[in-house]
Amino acid sequence: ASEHQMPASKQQPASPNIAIFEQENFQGRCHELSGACPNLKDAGVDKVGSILVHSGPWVGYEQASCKGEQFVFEKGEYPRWDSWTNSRRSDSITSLRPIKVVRAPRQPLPTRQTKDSQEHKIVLYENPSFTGKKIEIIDDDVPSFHAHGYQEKVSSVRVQSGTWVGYQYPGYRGYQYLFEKGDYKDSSEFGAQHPQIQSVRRIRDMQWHQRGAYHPSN
Amino acid sequence: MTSEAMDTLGQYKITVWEEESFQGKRCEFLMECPSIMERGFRKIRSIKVESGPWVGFEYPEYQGQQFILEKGDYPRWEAWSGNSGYRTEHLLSFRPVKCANHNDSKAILYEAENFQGHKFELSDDYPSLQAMGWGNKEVASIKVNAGAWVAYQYPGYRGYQYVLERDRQNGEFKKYSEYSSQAHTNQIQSIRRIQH
Repeated sequence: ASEHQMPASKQQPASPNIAIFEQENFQGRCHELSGACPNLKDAGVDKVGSILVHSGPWVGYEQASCKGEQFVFEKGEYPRWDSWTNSRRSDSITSLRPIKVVRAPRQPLPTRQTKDSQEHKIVLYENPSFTGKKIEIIDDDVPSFHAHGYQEKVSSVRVQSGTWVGYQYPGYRGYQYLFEKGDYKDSSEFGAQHPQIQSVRRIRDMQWHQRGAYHPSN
Repeated sequence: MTSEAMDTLGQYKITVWEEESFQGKRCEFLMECPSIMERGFRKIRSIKVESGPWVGFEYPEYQGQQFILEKGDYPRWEAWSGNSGYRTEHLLSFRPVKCANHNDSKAILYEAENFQGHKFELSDDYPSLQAMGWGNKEVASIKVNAGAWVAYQYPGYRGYQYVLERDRQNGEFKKYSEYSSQAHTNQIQSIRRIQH
């Protein structure tokens, strides 16, 4: 095992940064982005073969202008297209943007509830316009809606806090849908052709979410 | 039937089909299946987990790539596989994951083999370990103190999957080759608790 760089214990908020390589395994021409790119072709990127996220999170889209199938990228290494999706529909990324993360409120609360002050809350509804059966999730990830007794489709979503990703299948598989703070009245508003979501998780990054972050002690 | 197998009856239920979208030959299981071929199946192409979790394996006798199967519908193999580099459509054996406990799961990641070096104590899910401060894309050893976890090669729960249970190997995974019979790298970029 080689020597590894461990992070400094005090991390500065970093501006978004992503490196796109035209070939697999971080080979070929490399393009770095630090902000939204509505059309990678216009930016001189012929194809996306692998991706290194230095600072995230980001969301990639199959089509230009942030349209079509979505692919979430968090800090880490993605050496081939099937490390970010195994979609049947598409293996191309044409646009990318940083995901807007709202800093969790960090007021100094005096009670023990402080550590449970809610950072992430989402409600998913069976029918459009926030009606029908619902599943509400606070500060947790849910790899199986069925395990929580929810077997219905998802046609509308309300994000009260945090940033989330929903997935077509259990265990975070299949089509991905990014949910930022706000209301999605029907499935077309979150980009779904079929209103099926069976798992959902938070997007967390220590730049905004200190709870559970790693601080190496020497 | 062993007494261990008796314990699982009623608590675990999985149905497998030979074709996609829950079509063709089907079979229901309440306990582990070391080889689906012995049940006259040539393949598995869709799965419903009514009570879980389960872990599926690429080859008979619980060998090869692992696939976590929590409660829900899996209409085609892409719904459970997420591997990279080496695609497989095989899922030929499976067994229940008995110690999953989403609310009480604890694990410790270590920078070096044999539980040495920097360590990171977990009780929550980490879709990107690096986003939460872990310094590199590798984890050299893992101790599971409670529950069951699934670790993944890539961020966002993709790539090779390693199911790590408290009640297997005493929860101790001293080097990457103990994560799974097919692990050939210590690359782990995301990890999460298994839902029961």
